[in-house]
Amino acid sequence: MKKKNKPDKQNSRRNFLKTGLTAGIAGLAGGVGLMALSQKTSAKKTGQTIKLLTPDGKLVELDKSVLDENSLKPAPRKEAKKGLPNRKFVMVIDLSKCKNARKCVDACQEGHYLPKSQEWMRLYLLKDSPETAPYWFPRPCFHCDNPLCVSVCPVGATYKRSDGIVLVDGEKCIGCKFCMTGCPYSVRVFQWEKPEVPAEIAHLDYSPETNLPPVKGTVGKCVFCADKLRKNELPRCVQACPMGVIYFGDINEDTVTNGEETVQFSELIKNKAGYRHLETLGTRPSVYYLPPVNRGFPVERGLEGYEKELVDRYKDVPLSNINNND
Amino acid sequence: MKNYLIIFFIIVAIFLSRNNVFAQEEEATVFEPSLGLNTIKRTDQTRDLITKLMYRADKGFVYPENHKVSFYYLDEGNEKFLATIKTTNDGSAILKLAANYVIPADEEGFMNFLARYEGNDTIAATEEQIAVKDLKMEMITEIIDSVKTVTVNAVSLASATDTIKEIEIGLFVERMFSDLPVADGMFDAGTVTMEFLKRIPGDKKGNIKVIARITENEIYGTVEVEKVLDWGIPSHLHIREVPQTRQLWTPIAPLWMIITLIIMLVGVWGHYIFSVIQLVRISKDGKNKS
Amino acid sequence: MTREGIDFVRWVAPQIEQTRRKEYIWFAFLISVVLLAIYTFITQEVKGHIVTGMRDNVVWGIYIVNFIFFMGVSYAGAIVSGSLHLFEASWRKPVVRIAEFTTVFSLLIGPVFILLCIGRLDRLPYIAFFGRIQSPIVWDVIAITTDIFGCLIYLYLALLRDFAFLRDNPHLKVPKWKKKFYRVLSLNYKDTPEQRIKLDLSMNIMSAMVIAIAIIVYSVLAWIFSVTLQPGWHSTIFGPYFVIAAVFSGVAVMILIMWIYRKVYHLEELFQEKHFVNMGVVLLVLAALFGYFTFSEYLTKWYGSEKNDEQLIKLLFSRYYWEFVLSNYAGVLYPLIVVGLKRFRTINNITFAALLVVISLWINRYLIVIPTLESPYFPIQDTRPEWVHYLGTWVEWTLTAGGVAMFALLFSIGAKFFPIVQVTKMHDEYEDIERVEYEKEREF
Repeated sequence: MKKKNKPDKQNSRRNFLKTGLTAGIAGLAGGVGLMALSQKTSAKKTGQTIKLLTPDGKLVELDKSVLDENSLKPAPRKEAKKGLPNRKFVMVIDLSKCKNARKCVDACQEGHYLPKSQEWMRLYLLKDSPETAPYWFPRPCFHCDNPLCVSVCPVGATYKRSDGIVLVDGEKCIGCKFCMTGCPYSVRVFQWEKPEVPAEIAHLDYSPETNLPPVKGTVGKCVFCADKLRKNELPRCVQACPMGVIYFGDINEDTVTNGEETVQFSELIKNKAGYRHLETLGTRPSVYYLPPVNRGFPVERGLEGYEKELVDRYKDVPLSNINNND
Repeated sequence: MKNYLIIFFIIVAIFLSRNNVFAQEEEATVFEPSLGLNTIKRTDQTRDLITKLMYRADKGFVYPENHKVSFYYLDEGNEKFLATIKTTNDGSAILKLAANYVIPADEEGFMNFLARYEGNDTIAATEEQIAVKDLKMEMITEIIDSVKTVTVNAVSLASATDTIKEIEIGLFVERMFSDLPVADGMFDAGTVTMEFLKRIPGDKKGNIKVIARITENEIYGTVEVEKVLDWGIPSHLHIREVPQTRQLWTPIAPLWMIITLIIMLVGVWGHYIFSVIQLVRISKDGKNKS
Repeated sequence: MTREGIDFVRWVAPQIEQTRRKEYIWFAFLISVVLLAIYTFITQEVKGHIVTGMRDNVVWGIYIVNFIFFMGVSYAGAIVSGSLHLFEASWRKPVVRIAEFTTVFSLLIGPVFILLCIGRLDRLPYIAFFGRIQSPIVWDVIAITTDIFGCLIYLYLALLRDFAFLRDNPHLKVPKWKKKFYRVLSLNYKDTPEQRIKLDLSMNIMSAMVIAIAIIVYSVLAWIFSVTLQPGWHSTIFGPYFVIAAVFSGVAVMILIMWIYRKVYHLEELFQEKHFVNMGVVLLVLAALFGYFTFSEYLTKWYGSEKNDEQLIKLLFSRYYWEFVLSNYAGVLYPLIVVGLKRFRTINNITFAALLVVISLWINRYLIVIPTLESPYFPIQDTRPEWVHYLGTWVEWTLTAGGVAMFALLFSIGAKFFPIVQVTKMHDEYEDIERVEYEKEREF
């Protein structure tokens, strides 16, 4: 046993990742843990070649075809309409593990330069009926297979790609907000005033895959981090979740991963009774949920440590069915 | 009174200067990075040395790009330089050693690698070392009694007497973001047999890349061997597609909608045009009369 | 034309010749309101829609309510004038021109409100360039455009004879440019039999068209709401419900306008009680129909008590209780009582009923649009009050006032050029009546 690195740090870190007890540490190594990184370096598109050292001391660049820089940037408007070939993306959210850590919300807002008031990924505290238990419910855009928002758009500013992702082209949107009434899941948000554009993105060409730079008077929503998918990277919310709640993958590969665990999608849905929210509406979402079974923590954990403004959002949801009328 | 005032001012001066000293100390914070070092033996017998440079700042973890990481191996205690690689946008620096690159082993049969980061004004220097024995694996895939079976044979290149036993190995299928585990096993006397029982979607011909991998073993590091075979389900049997025909939500409308609209518009505007023609005729009639 | 003719014109449409001081004050008032509205509009465009009360949940507010209301008024005008023309009711004549004016002017104001709701007005032409015909908004744009053209053609056909009348009258004291205006617009109409035939044919066709278009167009507007899945909107009867409510509101507006002109220009002999009563009867029938449709809507929702319908009804009966009672109870029952019972059937009562109906129907549209958006499928878990409940801001109210002022302005200006009564047709009738009486006297 001669591994002369810092074994404790690495192994204990891996343990933390597995049990997910400590929030934030999973942000290590970009979320795709060091293990997975070492496995996937061949497939991940970093835009840089791997250097090979030959016995005579020469450093050779491998696989120059990877160096197509443009394929790694968020696609411009015309390219963004084409989905990644042969893919159909799907997300599975495990409600039994979610405790309102809100790292997904933070990562999404940071990655897309959203103001705090705009949430593309939103966390609800749902209680379906008086006798059922409340549970935390992360809700991204469902990228429905029968998207009502796309059907009602008068100018075709929002569209569904061949890989299943629904995007909004902020340069075409006229701001009529019909899509916002068409979506039954309240997913879309509107730029009601001139957005504050930080210097680092102001010069970028507009891309519907990131919705940056933001456009006043248009509609925005979760984009399944289409810019990251081009580089074979997981969406930001998936990587940020300390509990491994969100799984993401290609249903044509029958595989979803949360950065740590990789599982067969069909097996996961079968074994854990996956379902889609409000299925009877007929929108056919691409996001599946696993029911909140055997939760390891009380639902009140999700309200601890937050400012009053956040806790007040959920004041209408009774956390206990016992009337404490003293 | 004067004395008290002087003492007061001296105390204030000391207080203020101490504050400055604190401030300077804060300004001179140097981040302590970590540089994980791992090694992977690939199926083409090349060896990857992988490092990831990162440090913790207030907002979270930072992965600096374009910093130089130098790789060495140790030969009887002496550092022999391999190469210097710049980190990419996620902080990783990877050096691949060619298959026929010979790294001398020490008495116990371990190859010792060293990765060093020199540091700069804001980031401290750091280095990591790793020691692994070389291992050669080969994968045999066959269908025995209509069960897809993978047999992996491993031979230690460090010493012929080392038998490979009680080492865990996993069988994976390469996917878009990560590798899907499908089976696992334990080496016994240098060989292990695993059954591939899952139904995994493949490409048009049903091809999938099957990887047998020992993950971060204490002695051998990570070793993998892979093969592309047609043990997957061909795409035409499983692929879900977003329909490209005319739907409510496609760019082009269903045909019946277009036809209905045209009929209605022609019907209505036809009457309008008729009325306008009547008006024109009225005007002409009036002109002729006068 | 005889002197009686010019007296007739001076009696029914004096504002064509003269402008009194009161009118100047009226115009000044209206124009100032419109200018204030324009300033408010510029504020909204510069600062963004954040100055309105609309937020991510209630994305459509007072502007859409006004849009539906004005479009409703216009379709009522179309249906009333079209059907009155087709059925050749004898009492209709003074009313028809007012109906035609109401149609066209509210049709010009309504779409302006929808434009106020659009976030990027600079991209408006995209609807024409990139329009998707699967979108109900594109249906609506096509429909409204068709409707505007149809109603303009119809109005023009109706005005043609009057233009000729005004052109030919040598005693008409109007400036030269106005005379030329009438001459150009009258298209050499000399009331010859061939011209008469063509005109009548066109009028018949267009009046039938206008009725059909009005029904279709307003149904399309209703479908913008009912094809979505929102609780409260996803109703199968929205098409006919909206059409009935539209005609109801339009008839009420016409009664109000009739009353105003009667009062201001002392046209008591022209707009007699029988006109008000007959319009009142139409109002009564529509009130009954509107009440029936409303009752049917809410009974179905309440009885079935689907979770989201129940949430909506709870909202209506708690936060919007008085508005609901006023619009759906008072607005329906009052016209029924006032017109139904002979004792109450006076001009003033009927006009007040019409005023109540106008207010009730505006509130009814408000209660259709906004409470639905305040009770979506996902609960609004937010602490900011303006994101939870909608409250119209000064911007929206000012622009509403501007729209109403613009309507009144267009109407007033129109009345100065086009007689608000079908002069020629009325004159024909009076001539007939006089001739009959003259012959009766001769027999004695």
